[in-house]
Amino acid sequence: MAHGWSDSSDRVLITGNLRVKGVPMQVEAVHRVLAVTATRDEPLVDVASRMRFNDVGSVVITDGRYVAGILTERDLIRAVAEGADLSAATVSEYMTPDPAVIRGDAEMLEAAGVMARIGVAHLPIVDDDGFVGVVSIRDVVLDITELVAR
Amino acid sequence: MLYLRMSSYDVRLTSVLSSMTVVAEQSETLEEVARRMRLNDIGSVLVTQDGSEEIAGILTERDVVRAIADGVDPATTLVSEYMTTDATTAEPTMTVTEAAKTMVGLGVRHLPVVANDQVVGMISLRDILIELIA
Repeated sequence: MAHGWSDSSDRVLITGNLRVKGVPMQVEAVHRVLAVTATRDEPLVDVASRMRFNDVGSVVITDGRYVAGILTERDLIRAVAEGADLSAATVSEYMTPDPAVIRGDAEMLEAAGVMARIGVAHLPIVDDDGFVGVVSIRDVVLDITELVAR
Repeated sequence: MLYLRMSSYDVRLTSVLSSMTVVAEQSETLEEVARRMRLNDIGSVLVTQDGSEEIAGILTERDVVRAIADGVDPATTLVSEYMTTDATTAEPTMTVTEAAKTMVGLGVRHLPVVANDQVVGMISLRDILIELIA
C-alpha cells in the first residue's frame, strides 16, 4: 500500500503507514496523495462524479494554492434534502468555507483531536506553500488503533 | 494536550454503539431519506422491507453521492435502487479496535451491529474515534 508520488512541485509525497516503531506519526506521512479538488463554481453533479470516481468522501475546494473550502458527502446530502437542482447548484452554495486545516508536521493524534472536537471526518493539510493533501478519519483511526500493537 | 484512552482499545461494541438507529423503507425516495439523515445528522440508515421490521440493507451517504453522480432525480429515485444489500456487519462482542480495522479495510464508515439475526445498533468510525481519545 505504501508508495511514493511526485506532484507538480516535485515534492515527494509518501502514502501508506510508514510508522517507525516508537516514533509518533506525522500527518504528512499518511495523507492522501493527489487529493481530489474542485473549484467554487462547479456544479454539484460534477463534483459528485469526481468523488465517486475517486472513491472519496470529500473534495477540497481550492483557490490557487489555497484552501477555500471543503465539500463533503454530508453537504451533498443537505443539497438533496433541500431539493436543490444538482446540475445547477454550485459548490460555493454548499461547501464549508475556510474549513479547519492541519499542518503536515502535526502528529496524527492532534488531527484525531481536531476531528473529534469539531465533528469532521476530513482535514485539508497545509504547509507554508499552501494546500498539500487531506487526512481522513480513516487514516487517523487506523493510526491510533495500531498504537495498541506496540 | 490529547491522550489516547488506552483502556478503550478492548472495549466491546456493546458499550459504544448507537442503539438509536434510523430506518428507511425500500420504497422511499432518496430525497426523503436525505432529509432524515440531515435531521438526525447521521451518515447511514438501515433499510427495512416495506411494512416489516426485517432488514433489507443499508443506505449510506456514499450511496446517495453515487446516485447524484449517475444524474438520477433523488426526488423520484427509490432507496431500493441504491442501497447495499450485502453490508458487512459487526457483532456486539467485537472490540472497537477490531471494528475499526474492519471498517478501514472495507473502506466504509458504518457497520450495522447484529446479534442473533437482529440489528442491535450501528457503529461508526466517528463513535470509535470519540471512544479512543480522551
